[in-house]
Amino acid sequence: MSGPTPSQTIGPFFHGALTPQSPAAAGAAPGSILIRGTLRDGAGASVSDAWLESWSVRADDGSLDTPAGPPSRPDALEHEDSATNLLCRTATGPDGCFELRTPMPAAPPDLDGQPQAPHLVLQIFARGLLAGLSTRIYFDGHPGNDKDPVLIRVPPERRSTLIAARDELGFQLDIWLQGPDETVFFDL
Amino acid sequence: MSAVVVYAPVPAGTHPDNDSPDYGSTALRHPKQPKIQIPPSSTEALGPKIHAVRFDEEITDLTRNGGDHAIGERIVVHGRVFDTEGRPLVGAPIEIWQANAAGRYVHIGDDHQAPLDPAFRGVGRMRTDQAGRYRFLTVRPGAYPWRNHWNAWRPAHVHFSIFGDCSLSRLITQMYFPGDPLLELDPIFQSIPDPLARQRLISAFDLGATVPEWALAYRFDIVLRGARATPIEPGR
Repeated sequence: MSGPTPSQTIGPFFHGALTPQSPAAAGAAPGSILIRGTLRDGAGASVSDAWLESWSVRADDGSLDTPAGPPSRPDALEHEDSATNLLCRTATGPDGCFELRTPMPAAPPDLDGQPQAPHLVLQIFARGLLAGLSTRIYFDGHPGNDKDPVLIRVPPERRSTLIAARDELGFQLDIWLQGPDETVFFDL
Repeated sequence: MSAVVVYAPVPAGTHPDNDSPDYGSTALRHPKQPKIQIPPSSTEALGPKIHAVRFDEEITDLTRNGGDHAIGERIVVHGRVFDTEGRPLVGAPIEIWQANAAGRYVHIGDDHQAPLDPAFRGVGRMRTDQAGRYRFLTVRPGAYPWRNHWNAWRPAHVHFSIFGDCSLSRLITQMYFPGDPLLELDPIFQSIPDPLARQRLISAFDLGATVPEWALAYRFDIVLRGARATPIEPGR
């Protein structure tokens, strides 16, 4: 078996090809939240040609009964559970702004059974990024943040780059690819 | 019964470094802080599963848009999607997009002075079958200039977006064509450090998959990171 296929940039022309989706819009769950923000580069310019994908686990489920067995079993499609598999896909707008509409994510234990604070996994693809970036979005004020096994690995002075603030419509978090407020990205 | 899901690390040199100065757009977009390691048991390894991806209509023939035939050299682009454990990925969503035969995208941001072809849609999407296979009918994309440096031209390529079983296996990449003299000059292709890994993005001419009197064929297999599930004792 040959090794994994290398990554290349998404480039600027993906918009008609990739299919946006929103678990909230599909009515997958009531009680959706709106997370808004702007994606910025190292000079503070908005990044208007990026593609964002967030994923989370539904709040009212709590349990994260994800089979750890081999993926891609022939019957995988029959096990679809879109309500607990909350994928959101969207492009940034001409002003670099993005909106993620998703049910409030759960506070799922990780595979070792450790409690985690509620969070979204967020992957970012853009012209100028040869490989996608992976980050997380946490929620300001959640008591679990202080004990979250991933957040505590982040130097305290950089944790705020991962924590969305409440605003009048929901939550707000700008993402900086580079610069003094550079967002924390994870090595997967 | 519990299990540890182990995703083997991707060998060094497989993926490009986002800090690749020869590709000018990376300058202000690559993070400069080191990435932070997270436990392999994290949410990132749990999803999204391939069935979380939704799209409506499959588009496997890019050469027809309404009644007319797209201009260009018709080609079949096909292959199989595996994970690094050698398992075919079933139902994996694949989305592709590319320039037309003249090197122009159907995109408002493409100002290359080359003709648009109303018969060419430029996008395709489908799920792999039970053996992990996919197949598109398209036209060979043209090379196009892109202003990265003086007289910069992208080699002919098809963009691919593929989901595996979780965010660790998510891949966006580009497929190239064998023998293209522009590959040696292309900072995006050359950004992959390992020359052997680089070669894996070059499709293979596939006479056996051609459609006689109709289309030539290129094969492009894709390998995504896969999990090795290791059972552990209850109560650990």
